[in-house]
Amino acid sequence: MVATAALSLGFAPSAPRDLDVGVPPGSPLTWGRSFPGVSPPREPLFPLSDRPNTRGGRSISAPVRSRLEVKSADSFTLVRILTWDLGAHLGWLGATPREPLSGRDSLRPPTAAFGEPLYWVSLAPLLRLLLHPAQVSRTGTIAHLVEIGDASLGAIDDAESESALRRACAEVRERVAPRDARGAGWVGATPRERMLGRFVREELLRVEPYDPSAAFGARILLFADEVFPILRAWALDPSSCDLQRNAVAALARYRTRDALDVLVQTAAQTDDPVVLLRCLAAIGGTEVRIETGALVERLKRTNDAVETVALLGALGATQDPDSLDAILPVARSAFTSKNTDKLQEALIAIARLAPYAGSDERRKDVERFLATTERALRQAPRAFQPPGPKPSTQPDRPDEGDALGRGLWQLATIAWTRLAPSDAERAAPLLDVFGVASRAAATASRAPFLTHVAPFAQPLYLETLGMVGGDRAVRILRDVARDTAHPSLSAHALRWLPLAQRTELALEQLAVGGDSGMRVVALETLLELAHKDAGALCRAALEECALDPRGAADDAAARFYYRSALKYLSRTKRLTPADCVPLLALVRAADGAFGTLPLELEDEVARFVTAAGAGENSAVLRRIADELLDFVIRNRMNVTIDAENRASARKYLLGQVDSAAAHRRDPGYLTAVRRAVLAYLLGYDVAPADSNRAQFAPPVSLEEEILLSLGRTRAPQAVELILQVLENKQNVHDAYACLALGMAGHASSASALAPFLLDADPFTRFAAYEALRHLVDVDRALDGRAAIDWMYAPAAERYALAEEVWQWLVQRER
Amino acid sequence: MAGPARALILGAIALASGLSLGTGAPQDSGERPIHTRIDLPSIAACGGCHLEEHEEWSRSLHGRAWTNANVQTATNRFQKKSCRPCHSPLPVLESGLDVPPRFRDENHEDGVHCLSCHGLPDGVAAARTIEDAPCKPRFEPRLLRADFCFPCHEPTHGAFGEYVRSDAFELGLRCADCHMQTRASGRGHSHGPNGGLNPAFVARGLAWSAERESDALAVTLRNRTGHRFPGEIPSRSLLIEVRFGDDAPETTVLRKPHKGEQREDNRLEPDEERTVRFPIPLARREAPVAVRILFRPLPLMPASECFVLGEQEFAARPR
Repeated sequence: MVATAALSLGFAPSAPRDLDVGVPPGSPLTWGRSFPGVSPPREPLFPLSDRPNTRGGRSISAPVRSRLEVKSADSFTLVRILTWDLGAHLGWLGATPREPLSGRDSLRPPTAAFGEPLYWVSLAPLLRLLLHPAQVSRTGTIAHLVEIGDASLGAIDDAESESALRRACAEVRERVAPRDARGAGWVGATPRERMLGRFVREELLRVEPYDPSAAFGARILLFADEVFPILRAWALDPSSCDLQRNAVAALARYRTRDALDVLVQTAAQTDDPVVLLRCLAAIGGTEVRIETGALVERLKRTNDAVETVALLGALGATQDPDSLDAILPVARSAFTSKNTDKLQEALIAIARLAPYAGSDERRKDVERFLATTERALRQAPRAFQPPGPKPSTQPDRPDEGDALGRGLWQLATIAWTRLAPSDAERAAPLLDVFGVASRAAATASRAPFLTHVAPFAQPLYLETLGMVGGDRAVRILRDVARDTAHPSLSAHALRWLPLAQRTELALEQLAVGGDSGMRVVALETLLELAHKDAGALCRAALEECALDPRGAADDAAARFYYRSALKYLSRTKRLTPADCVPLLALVRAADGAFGTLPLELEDEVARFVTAAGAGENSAVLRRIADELLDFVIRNRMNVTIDAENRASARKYLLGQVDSAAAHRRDPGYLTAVRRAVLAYLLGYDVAPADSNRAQFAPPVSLEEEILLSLGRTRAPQAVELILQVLENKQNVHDAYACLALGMAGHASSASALAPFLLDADPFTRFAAYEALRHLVDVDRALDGRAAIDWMYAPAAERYALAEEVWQWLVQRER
Repeated sequence: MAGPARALILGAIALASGLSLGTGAPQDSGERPIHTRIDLPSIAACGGCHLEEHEEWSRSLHGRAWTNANVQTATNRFQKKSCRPCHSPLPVLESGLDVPPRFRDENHEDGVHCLSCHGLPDGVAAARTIEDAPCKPRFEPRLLRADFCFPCHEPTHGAFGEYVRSDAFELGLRCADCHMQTRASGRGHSHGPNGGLNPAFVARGLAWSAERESDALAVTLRNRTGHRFPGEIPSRSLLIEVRFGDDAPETTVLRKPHKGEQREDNRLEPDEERTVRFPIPLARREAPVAVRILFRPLPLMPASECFVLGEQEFAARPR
């Protein structure tokens, strides 16, 4: 995936964008939702009969609402840094970060540094604020960065050098600085509970929740039901700042009523800004009716601008009309004092709640406020200016003087329309794309690409068009949905099209092929609608996936597309082992299946270069070169190196280290040689990507999902296939294969799991034990002795018990 | 092993291989100094002292002249033998600048090896003589001439013939003046990547503007390079994408035809300024208009990944 960019063309008469940056559409309070993220499976991996955390037999991991979400599968959609030579414009980029604040707990990663994905996603909102203060709320931007947490400090450290951003950065810094280093314990009653506690703690802390290139919580969310009590306990316990912050981030992925209750409770009582912002962002994204009393109280109590806008954002999504009574006074005060940040969020909240306004009196109150606001904003948009100092840096196309006022007017008009969407008079400005395209709309039918709608109002505008309905609204929605240049807007538009047109367009986008991101949206749309051809479309996607030997390794959106298809077929019980057979090639051969092999190879290459540098004789070097080539050929790591050209490959390898001895005291040279040798053996350069290009992609667990789906079929053939995977000692998905074997439910295969109780990877041991529990009830069979801490118990204890389990399985089979 | 015995054996080996011990430049076990050995990979032959150049070169199309997927496909993995000499050449200064280079049938992976350009029969060619450097580079005037690039870039790619018709040629500018500019640090000249895979570099090669006329959109392009634009190979193309209102975009492609392809070579001539007019459909006279100039360096690259050299939108025009 390559980020599209506008480039510097100083000689062009009409200068294109040179310095510019975009962000996802909508309020900054919603940006976090467009980050890629792992959610719990819709159904638990194993039957829940022995689980305490069920309500009426239903898994707590069943989401409260199923709806299409617009996620970013690539860096461009997420940060849209449009300037290749950003460093030439902003000299402070890449300044050395200060002491990492988030590395206090040894498990936590260091603060993201220049060039890392988290750095860019933290920097992009600040750049947007710097360059387009009229198109983004300053307070909302701060709230978004606080939501990201102390991982944003790398970018904050740098951006503080820009005078116009200094105060905003200081406000973020003050809020995200960790407050308390005391650790929170998890006192489990049994070894298993203690094991889970430690497992969850490690998984919560080792990855940043908002890192778009990592899969935060992927492994614990597989056991969503079981780990829920642990997450709940930590979410409500303020004694460990890091754990509480990340526990709420993990709970936000659940989207269940239980998780929502915990988030609301935590939001009501926490005094940590990061925890609060993460809770509120999650509540705002759930869009279900909740009891808002505690949040409303907090809104009334607070004087903090960031907290206020975040509470407005969350309350707007609650569908609770009572919260309007608390929002309206804030909105009036913001309007009177021309506090544009608060007014923006208040208008968005009012717009979202308008359809639920309820009683006549409240409704009239809202109407009066909107009428006054709309008139004032329409008549004097320039009176509403963004807060904060004037930036010293400007893009080539700076905001117009009335841009913010016009955007706020659009929000007021949208809210006004949502009070009575069927009122043609109210809807007219929306259908006219706010007047700018009135003449064009009559003839050419639309204004292009929503350029006349303020970015923060765009999703709401599209949603309101969906409520308005009618030919003109549908035409605008359809045009935006077809616009491949803006995938996230296009997804929003598709979501609000009437059913028939939505289906038609989604089918059209799938038929055309093209951009993977658009195909994901189209497919998910059809699956959400349970379209009659959904199964066939998913099968077609799997066939396409099977033809790609690397499983679209470089295209996260394509992998997501395949995985969606797979999950749908699996969920609806239409998947057969035969469907999975061609896909298993991915498990064996995709990049992911090389797992740690490139790292192992890297170690061996280092040994080779070191030996050459030490002046080892040619026989030794030849032997190591042969070992390297054996390794690559045996594991099929590079199609261009095989047994046939092995001799010339060895000659080339030996040539690469020919000067190593002469330069043995030059570490820079030896590093370059290692890189060159590794690049030759792997067939691709392992040099870090050019950080200025800000490219990154989320990991998509396609191979893992293939195995789990196979297990879910519970077919005898599936057992055979999973056993084949487990027999491959190079396989890096052992843990998932073990789980799949347990899910398949054939007790006769249990003995294949025993060796994995001794695996070097704790998670694989845990997975093998879990599978044995469900396949043959190993705990009961051994009178509870098998229920030890398979992840962290001393090796001697694990080995002894693994032996006992093995003996029992052998006897049992006899 | 005891010291004297070890020294004795080393001495015997040195005598047998004809090497002298203890001289300045790193020596290998063969007969020639290492910096003249094109049979060794570039990292070994030259990288030891010229790491920065090696790093630049390894990212350039010279460094990947043999291995890049585009050329591997276009030549059917070099089954097309006529392509081999330029994609894995022996030193051009040895074979001469008026003939194609000879094929280096070893170290293919290194593509255009450091010594393909810098190699001399008896040493190393450079822009200046440095007596006390290990490789003892010698000033070689041919290295600084524009026709230094002729052996590979003219016979099939036709770049040199274009260059001699250009203003750049008139002004005395050479290929390297654009493609090997002085580094930002001021130390030496960049060895890459300065070609079709570098979006910033490509963007410098084209000036453009767009104007909405009463009945057409006029897009004016000016080739700022000393060769046709896009240069050399048919896999590179320049796209002008115009959209009237909500119509599907209209795209004009400028590229060199493939061999045997029935297509006009519509690329921009060196220094050419060309205005391409896109008539605005009657029903779209008042509609907004958008234009994007894209460069597609590889034929299968999706439009979304092409380099955007520029874009402009014209708002709807009221009646």
